[in-house]
Amino acid sequence: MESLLQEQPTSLPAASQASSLIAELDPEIRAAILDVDRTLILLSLQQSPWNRLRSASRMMQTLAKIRDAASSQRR
Amino acid sequence: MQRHPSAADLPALLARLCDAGVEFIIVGGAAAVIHGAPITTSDLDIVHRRTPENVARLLEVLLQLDATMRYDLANRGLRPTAEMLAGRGQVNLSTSLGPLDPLCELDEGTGYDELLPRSESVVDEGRTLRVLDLPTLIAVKAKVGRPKDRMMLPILVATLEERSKLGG
Repeated sequence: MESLLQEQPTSLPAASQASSLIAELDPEIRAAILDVDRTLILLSLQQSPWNRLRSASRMMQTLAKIRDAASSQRR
Repeated sequence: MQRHPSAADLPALLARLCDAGVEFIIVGGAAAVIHGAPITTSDLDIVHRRTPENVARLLEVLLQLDATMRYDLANRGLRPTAEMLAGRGQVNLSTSLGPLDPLCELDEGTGYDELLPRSESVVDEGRTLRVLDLPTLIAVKAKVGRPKDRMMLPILVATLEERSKLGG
């Protein structure tokens, strides 16, 4: 089914909110923001919200299977 | 041996709740994912409206999903109740579609009605989801301050910045 994305803007402009939120964070976190791989965010934003949820779930379910397999091998 | 999956099937859980007419706001990692943050999460956190009718709708879905209390060390298979869901606490459940945590309040005195102005509606594939807005999610994670929340903060802030650049 075609995606009908309607993400409503928040009540305040997002850019000004971002700057005030960042200013309140501690320096370690502010420094880590620069290290975030933004290409992954842009790839995620290209998907519809439901597809983002599907991708995240598939990833987590795969990790859970690997973890279960690893723990059964250790027993 | 665990009966239920350890990772949530987020689309399936949300579809069940939406289709049953449950009123809720998505918070936590699933909200971050919907906003475009490239993260994973193993559970679904929601803040539900605590009217008797909505609690009844939520409870019906939970029982259909074979929900039991997750932190029951004696493994008695305790079921959620309407009283729990109408209270003020956090209910950690294991379901046939993975972990689901209905939160009566996100913070003391901050329930569904208080969060509603800080949420966005997202319409996709014919369903409407209500999600905590990204600035509020960042503020909540910063306030909670647990290591796992702090680790997520840089990604959430970067996501907010990228969305702002795109005009969202």
